[in-house]
Amino acid sequence: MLWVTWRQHRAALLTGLFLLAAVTVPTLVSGFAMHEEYRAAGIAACLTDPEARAGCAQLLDQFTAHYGQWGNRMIWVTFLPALIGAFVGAPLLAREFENGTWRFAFTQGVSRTRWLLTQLTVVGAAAAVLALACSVLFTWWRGPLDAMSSPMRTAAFTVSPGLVALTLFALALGLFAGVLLRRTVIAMGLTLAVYLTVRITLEETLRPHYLSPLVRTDAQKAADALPPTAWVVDEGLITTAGNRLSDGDERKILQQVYDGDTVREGGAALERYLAEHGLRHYTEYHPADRYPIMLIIEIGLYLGLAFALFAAAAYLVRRRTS
Amino acid sequence: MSSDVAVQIDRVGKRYGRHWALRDCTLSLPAGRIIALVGANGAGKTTLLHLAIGLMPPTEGSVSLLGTPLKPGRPQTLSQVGFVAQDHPLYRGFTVAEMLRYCRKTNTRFDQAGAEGRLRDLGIPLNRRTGRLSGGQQAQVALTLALAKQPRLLVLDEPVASLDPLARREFMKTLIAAVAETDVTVLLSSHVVTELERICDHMVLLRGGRVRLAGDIDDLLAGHRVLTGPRVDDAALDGLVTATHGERNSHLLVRQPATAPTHPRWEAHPVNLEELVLAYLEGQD
Repeated sequence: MLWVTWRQHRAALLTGLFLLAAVTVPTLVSGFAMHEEYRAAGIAACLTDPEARAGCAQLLDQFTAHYGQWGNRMIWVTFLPALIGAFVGAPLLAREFENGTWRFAFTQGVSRTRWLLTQLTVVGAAAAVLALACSVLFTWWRGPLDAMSSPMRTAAFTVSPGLVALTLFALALGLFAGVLLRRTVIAMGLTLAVYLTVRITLEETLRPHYLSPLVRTDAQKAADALPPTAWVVDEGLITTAGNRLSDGDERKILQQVYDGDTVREGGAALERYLAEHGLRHYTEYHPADRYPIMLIIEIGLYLGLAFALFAAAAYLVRRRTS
Repeated sequence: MSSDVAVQIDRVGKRYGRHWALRDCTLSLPAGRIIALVGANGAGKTTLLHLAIGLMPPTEGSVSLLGTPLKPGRPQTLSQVGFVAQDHPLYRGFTVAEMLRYCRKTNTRFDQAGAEGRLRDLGIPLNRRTGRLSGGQQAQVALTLALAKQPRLLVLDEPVASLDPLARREFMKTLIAAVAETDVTVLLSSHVVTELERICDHMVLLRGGRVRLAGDIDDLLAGHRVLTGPRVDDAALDGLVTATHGERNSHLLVRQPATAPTHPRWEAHPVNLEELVLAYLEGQD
């Protein structure tokens, strides 16, 4: 069975290795340059010493401007799980049913369960290793940037070891869609659609609430009230009674203070207005030290989904008769 | 050996959704024989074959294979069965040699030398991808793979339906030569009756998901005859299967032994297999 699995998926495995090699080289080149600049320019010292911070502003801005753009491109790795789900997971079973080869495969001297488990283990392990390699590479690359801003922001989360769980989820989704629909192209489409829906929902709606965010209120808007590594998930205005203002009310205040004009004088007029009316700023945030636990929660969610989908796919494979 | 039962099917039914593909089916398929499964499209032939090898479980009833109750998907069962599915599916990207390796790796028994020898005799190159073989060659490869498992039961689902007459004859030749010196039971479905007549000695006929006729072909032929006589539109004879009427004459196909006495108005003729099959396929429910 091992040979059979290797023979059926060797093209995909080799393509994966080729892609990995293709991104490793430029990432290493730019990564070493960035780490060198980070060290040589003394940015680490700027970050640890609050006194030195103000003087470092220009240096930090330059560094972020130069490499932040590069880092944002890493968002492409969110497509790695989608590719594996659609091009490896979905056809794995759909193709067998579409071409009728399941009647060949399931009448040899290997039970369907063992057949599926071998395929799952080999393909799943290969996908996981590929994802892990990407995540290690990109996490290393992002090191300096994550020291300067929150490691919990989207790009950082995506290239974290969570990528492995996300990949296994996409693979299981593809398998399940394949055995459910038994049509390769339709299964690929469904895999992509569901993957994107789940990922975006999780990222936009659920992730900020894996843990309840901490809240702080400030009379004055203070830019450096929080360390830059904290992840701010919501901010706004709050009354002395503790009621939060709706977005509409906030807009009305801005309208009133600036009379429809743009914000001037660094917002000093607004701050005066807020003080007069007993309004304060509130900020909901996750401190940087919550990153590991937030990551573990997300990995758990994706692995749970992956396991459920694998089990459902295995159940359907055992029952499929046409 | 020939008195043994290869497949015992007991009151088996298979339902897809609301539709019964097979109903109330009881059969004993004798071991060591070449058994034809005949029926129109949609009569339930494929369903019966899939049930017989445990590719799917029956909705009701039970199947036992070579004396043991069948549990679908059990490797011990599967390795005793050679199966050539409809349209003989193969992995199109695999070479012939890789298909052999697939079977060798997934079965306890596999006669590699025999399979290579057979393919060499057929002139099928081992290094050719199966997707680039002709339909007839693909069927031959599928048959070779099934035979190499040295099965005790060989099941073929419409093996020659998609082949041209020449490839059909070649395929049947390979099949007969391969099973001649063994005691393998062959169960094959087809609607090419002339092919069956040459190679099969037992027949099962399905219509509308039910078994309408089953038995040794010689016994079936001896147990039926055609009666010809002046036209009668309401013939009510014992064992009447079908009646066809000409302008003046009626031909009745009846289930009667050749020795049964007949009314003097009828002239009795022996029946051939094609007439018999067509009569049962046309029969009313």
